[in-house]
Amino acid sequence: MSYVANGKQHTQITLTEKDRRMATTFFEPRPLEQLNWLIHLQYARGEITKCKELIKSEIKKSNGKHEYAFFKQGVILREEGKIQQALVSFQVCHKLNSDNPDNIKEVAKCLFLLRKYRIALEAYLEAERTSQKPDWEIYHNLGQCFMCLGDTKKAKEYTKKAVQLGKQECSYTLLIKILVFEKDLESAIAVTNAALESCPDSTSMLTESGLLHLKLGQTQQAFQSLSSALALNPSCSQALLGIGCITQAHEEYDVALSKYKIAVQINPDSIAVWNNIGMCFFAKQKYVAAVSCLKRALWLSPLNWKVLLNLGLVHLATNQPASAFNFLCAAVNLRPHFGLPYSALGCALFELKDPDNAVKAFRQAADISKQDCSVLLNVSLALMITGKLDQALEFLQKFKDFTVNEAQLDTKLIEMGARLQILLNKHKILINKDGLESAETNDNSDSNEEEAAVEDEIPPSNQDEPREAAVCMICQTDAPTTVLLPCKHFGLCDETRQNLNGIPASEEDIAYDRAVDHSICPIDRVKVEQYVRVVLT
Amino acid sequence: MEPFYLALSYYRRRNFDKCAETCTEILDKQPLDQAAWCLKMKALTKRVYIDDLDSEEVIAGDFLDNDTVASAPRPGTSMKVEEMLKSRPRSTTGRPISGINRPGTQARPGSSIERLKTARPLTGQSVRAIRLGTAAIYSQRDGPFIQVSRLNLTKYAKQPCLSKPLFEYLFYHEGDVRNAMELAVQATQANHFEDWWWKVQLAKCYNALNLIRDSEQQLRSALKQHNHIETYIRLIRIYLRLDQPLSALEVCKAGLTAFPNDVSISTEVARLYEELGDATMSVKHYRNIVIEDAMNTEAIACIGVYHFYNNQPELALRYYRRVLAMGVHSAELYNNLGLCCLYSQQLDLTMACLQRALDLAISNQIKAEVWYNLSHVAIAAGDVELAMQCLSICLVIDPTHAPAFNNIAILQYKSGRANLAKAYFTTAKNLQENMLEPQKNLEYLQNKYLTVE
Repeated sequence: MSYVANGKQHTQITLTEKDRRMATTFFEPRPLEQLNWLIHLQYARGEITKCKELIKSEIKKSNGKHEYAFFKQGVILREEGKIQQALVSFQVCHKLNSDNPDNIKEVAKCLFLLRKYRIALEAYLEAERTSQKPDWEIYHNLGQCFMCLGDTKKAKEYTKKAVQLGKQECSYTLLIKILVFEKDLESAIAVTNAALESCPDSTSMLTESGLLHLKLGQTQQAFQSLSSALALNPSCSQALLGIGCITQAHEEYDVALSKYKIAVQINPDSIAVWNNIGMCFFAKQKYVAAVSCLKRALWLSPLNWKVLLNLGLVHLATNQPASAFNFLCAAVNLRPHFGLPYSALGCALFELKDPDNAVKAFRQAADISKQDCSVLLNVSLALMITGKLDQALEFLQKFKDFTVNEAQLDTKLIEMGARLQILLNKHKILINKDGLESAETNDNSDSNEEEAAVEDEIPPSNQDEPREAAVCMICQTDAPTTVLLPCKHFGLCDETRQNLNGIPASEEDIAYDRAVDHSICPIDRVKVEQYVRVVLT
Repeated sequence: MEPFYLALSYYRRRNFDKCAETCTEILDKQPLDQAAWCLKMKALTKRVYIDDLDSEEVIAGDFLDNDTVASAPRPGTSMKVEEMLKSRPRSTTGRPISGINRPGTQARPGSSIERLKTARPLTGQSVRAIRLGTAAIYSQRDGPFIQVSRLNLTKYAKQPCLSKPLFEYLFYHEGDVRNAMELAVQATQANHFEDWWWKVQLAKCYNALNLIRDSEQQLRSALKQHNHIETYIRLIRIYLRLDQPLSALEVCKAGLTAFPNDVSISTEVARLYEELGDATMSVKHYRNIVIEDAMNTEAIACIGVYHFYNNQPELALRYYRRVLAMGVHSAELYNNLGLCCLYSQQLDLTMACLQRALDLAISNQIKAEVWYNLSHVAIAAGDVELAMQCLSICLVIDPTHAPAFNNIAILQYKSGRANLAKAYFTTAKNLQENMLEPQKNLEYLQNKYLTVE
């Protein structure tokens, strides 16, 4: 620093009478910088109160012309958090000596801390103009200002300059951030590699690189970076999470769980960790643990659609379609532009015996995610159940077209597709013969298809529902014969129909003084106006 | 019938108005009948008597106090430190509200502003005095029953049969703490400092006059003469007022050795641990209480709260249903039941419970809390718009509800209105300075692009 003067020894000169007279005529003022060394020393020792007093007296002595004192005052004030006052102090410095780029830099820094980005930007540009040699700090801060003002292009330009000049870790981090913001992951990785050359021991940079690799699906490199980050700092929760993710994807759930266990101790409020722990338990078929971990994640972040989706999947796997429906509905509401929740919702509706709406959900999923062939299969299946065979065949055809193009596809899916084809063809023939019997044949064949592969990250895609054989809905034994009008439900046998009229009011009904009316439909409680006996051929 | 016998009978049947009337008739005939005079005093006292142990108002910001309390106490030694139980709103902020009212918990910590809005002076004594005074007014038909200023306190202090009823009359009915204290002082002297009852009464008076340390001395000396649960509890309350929870705990321990498993002292211990943030110890004591007294609503409700925040909403639901079965029928309880149902996925009951809570809610505060919880139901269904509407209603009812402002800001941010969100966050921050969430959120919004240096 040009300000630090290492204590000029002022030698005592014995003055003669003549000299003294000279001194009065040629009075040379005490140099301003005389006590700069002391100010700096006291500041560096942390004797702030003494330092402040000294600064005050120096400023007073110099009639407010002491640049270095004002500078140090600004630094002290800024450290104390009084940024506005610090700014004033630095502005005085700048007025006293406008050629010094350090002064304007500090002014800009204060403005930046005060969140006045546009003025800070101008100040930094001024500093850039006044400084003789290029300074990485100015470029870095210019990059930050542009970023805050939302001009990523210029921000990138300046940060790149800063990186070339300074090779500082913070500039690298800023550049990576900008690149990730622009979704340019490839170049972000290149930057991390360059950064790791200059600072190979930075855990945060290693983690960053690992996570970027992971985002691009380069698991090998990601694993390497994250492991070296963990070797340097075994309690880095983000790196632990990343490594856990990789091992989980390789289906080594116990290893992943051990990593997550450490991560969750360091960062107990991490939604991602709780979510992944839940899915590990889910893969190990410990459903209760899975649900409670996922619930913890949901408690922490009620608006997280991923957690909701996973909860829905777990409930689907444990045969609780109603709960699954709730969670999936929420997930769909929160993220309507995503196919996965829709297809899971379709499965839940399917389980809830609502194939019509399931078809709607599946169709929506198919519309959104064109790449997912399992959705096509599901649509076709649901359509078949609802009896729209032509459309079902159409979707199956789409699925087939898709599988032809795609080389690496789950063999299970193709197999299921083939089976569905057979089934559909059978149905078509049956329908030509007899419309009603088809329901029964349906039952046998579908049960084979029911084992749906539920995977942790990818939702279940192929789920089926065994359609019950038509029986009377009251006695559950005989075949139904009667249609109720106007609701058109078909579900009473002859015997039940006759019994219904003869049933006396139950004791409970009498106790609660309830109106007894057995002429309502047992399914939707619509008043029956007419019973129509149907004869099946 | 003998009129005095009739009066006594009225008194026993808790028919205090008629008792007082009969006594007045007797006194009209025989103005110097001490028995009738005493009975009338007792009847009038009983009429306005409140259990001042459980209705004591603890003033939060007693800035007129001389007792200085360390502003940065060591952890676990003070209750003025905010945010003891993390991830669990204080039962006073109420989500879920424990369903019971305790002394000094009716006011939300943030709403001390509301207190300041009233012109009432903020001393512990005056609050109580005003309430007692208003209660006393309606009992006077023609002139006051006793002219307090003309009482010869020295004379009455020497008569043990009359002095005690007279004290209670002065303290509870007249709300005249100064004269009551005068009487207590003289009576203690007359009893040669050997009657513990008078010492406790003296402590009561000192407490009402904010002379807390004197009150403590009296209670300690009373305890030396006679072990009594009320004395212990008063001493505990004194230490709570002085913000010395550890001393209070010590008193509790002494009390529990004298009266093992006593419910009221155990309740104090459990409350203390809860205030100190030690939920497990608190629940342990509440469980002991429930073993002693299976109908203790407070204990059951608090165990329920513990389970709720321990991620066991199903268990919590069981406890709250027990409270419901015991006949409690309040908005808070239904609110809690609704929340338990929501988190244990019994969605069909959630709405019914919260609906009933809304129907039962009288105070705006509870109404606002219920609407706040309803917004959580909407969020659980993923319906952001509905959640925002619920929060808006909550804010209409209680415009100082900081968490609601915070949440509405988050929802606005999620729907892409960052500037509006910022404004809401700022409001939330201003309303409740010590709440972390809006501060963190604001910082996040402002420093989104910044790298940490």
